Amino acid sequence: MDLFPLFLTLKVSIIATFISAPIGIAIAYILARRDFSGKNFLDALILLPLVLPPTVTGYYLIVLFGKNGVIGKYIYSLTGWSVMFTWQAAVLASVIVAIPFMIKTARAAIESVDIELEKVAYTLGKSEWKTLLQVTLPLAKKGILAGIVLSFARATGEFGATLMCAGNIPGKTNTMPIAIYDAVSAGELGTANLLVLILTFVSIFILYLTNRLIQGRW
Amino acid sequence: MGIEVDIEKTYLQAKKPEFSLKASFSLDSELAVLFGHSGAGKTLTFHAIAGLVKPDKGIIRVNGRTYFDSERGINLSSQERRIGYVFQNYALFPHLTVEKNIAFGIKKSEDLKEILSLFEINGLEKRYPNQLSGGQQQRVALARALIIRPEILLLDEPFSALDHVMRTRLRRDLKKIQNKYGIPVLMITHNPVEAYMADTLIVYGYGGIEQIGSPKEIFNRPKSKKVARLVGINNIFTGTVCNILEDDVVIQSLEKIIAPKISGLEIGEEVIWCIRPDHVMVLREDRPLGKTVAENLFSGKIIEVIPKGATHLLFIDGNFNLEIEMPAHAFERLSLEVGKTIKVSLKKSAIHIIKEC
Repeated sequence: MDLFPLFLTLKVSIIATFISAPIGIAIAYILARRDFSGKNFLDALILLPLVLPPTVTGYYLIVLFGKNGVIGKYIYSLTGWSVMFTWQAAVLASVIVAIPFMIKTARAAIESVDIELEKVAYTLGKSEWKTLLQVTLPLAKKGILAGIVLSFARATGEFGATLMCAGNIPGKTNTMPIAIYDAVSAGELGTANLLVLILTFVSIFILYLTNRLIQGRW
Repeated sequence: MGIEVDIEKTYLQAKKPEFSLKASFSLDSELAVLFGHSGAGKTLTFHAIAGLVKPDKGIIRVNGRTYFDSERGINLSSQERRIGYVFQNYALFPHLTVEKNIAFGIKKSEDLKEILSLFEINGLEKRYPNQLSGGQQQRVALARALIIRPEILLLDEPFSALDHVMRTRLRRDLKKIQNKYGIPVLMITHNPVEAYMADTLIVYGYGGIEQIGSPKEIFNRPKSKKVARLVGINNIFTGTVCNILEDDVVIQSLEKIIAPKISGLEIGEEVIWCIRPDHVMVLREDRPLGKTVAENLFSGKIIEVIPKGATHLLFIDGNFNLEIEMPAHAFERLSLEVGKTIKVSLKKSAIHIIKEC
């Protein structure tokens, strides 16, 4: 039994979560606390991967990052390397589909922090950055943790966009969901059952762990 | 030491002015009270002083330091201003203990012990805000604001959430603060009783200041009908000046009224006159009248009585419909009740003439 898909999925999801959490929190804070023109547009753009079919998101990623893509062609001409059909492409796809979950939950959590607490911190001499670290984020901790878990869960289950831009290369880009799809289409129900069970248990364990974390005292 | 404020701020709603504030005052190191209905712009003034809102134009100076000057392009950040700001709901950090709340704005916690005992919160250091009573929360908020050695202390409705005992205690604490720190203390309230604590009272109408003065002056000699109503004077009448004597003036209202003369009155001029409800004297029928109360005598029937604890509010229907506030014991002694007709004196010296119309 080849456990490579499990480890790949964990690696991709963890890296994707580490990337999407700080970026997501930063964007969530800006959306929650700042007013600027184009805010609604940015908001819609960020949430787009939630409503688009993952294959469409994946197609956009190809258009952007492919060898001849809008951004990808510069990367290719500079480095001779393209992200397409590497495990990094799976990370990229996971970040894009998972980050809306991070932003949505973190934004709601930050908005629920009484803004007067931030104001009082300013009058006590704390900069906006220190206030964010010492007041806003600690008070929004539960929501942010929930966002991290949701985006991690979304990343582990990512299928469509990953298949589109990372492909299904055994031993290279075949993540759990793709391996399960493979096993089922090849009629290897034993393998499929095992992979499904593993993925389910890992998910339950993570959800249980976060529930424990969230219920603890802040 | 002192504060000087002269600011303007307009809020637009769909490009039309929705609310605009114009406020200008200057104070020494004293207790000043911003008094007025909610929505008048008192908290907005505080936010401007604290640097949380940028005025459209004007200046804010505290102890000679310019916080804001639109012409010279100065606008210090909240962090640079050194303001002790106690918010209405205290805004304690719910995730930090009392100790950490108070030490939030300082680098070394050396003053902590002293301030804990000044506000009598020793022993509560390790508690969280939700484990404190309202009065304790407020003292923690005060300690947190004062430990940074602010140049000015701003208190937004500090009395609103306190019971009677805690109110008395806060009055004492405010005296302590003034003695110890000697900084200007500005306080917002809409309660006339608390407004009376002020050295200087700043009366806010909607979007601006109506009158500035000592509480005594404002409560007895309001400049306008609006201020008179704000400070609880509901006995407001109009009349025409019909005679000007050496010291007095006679006003033809529903009846003739004699009042102290003020400058600039002309015969035939329309004026407003008013008297505080607690300045209306209810006369005892069995006693001869003293000289000072033998002015402006009227009678009326009591139509309603509202007990207010130490005092009673009486509404009488007669030559003038008057509101009277009298001590409860006097009310009992005269065995007054609804339906009874009483004699009252509107003491000349208690009558205040407002020239606006």
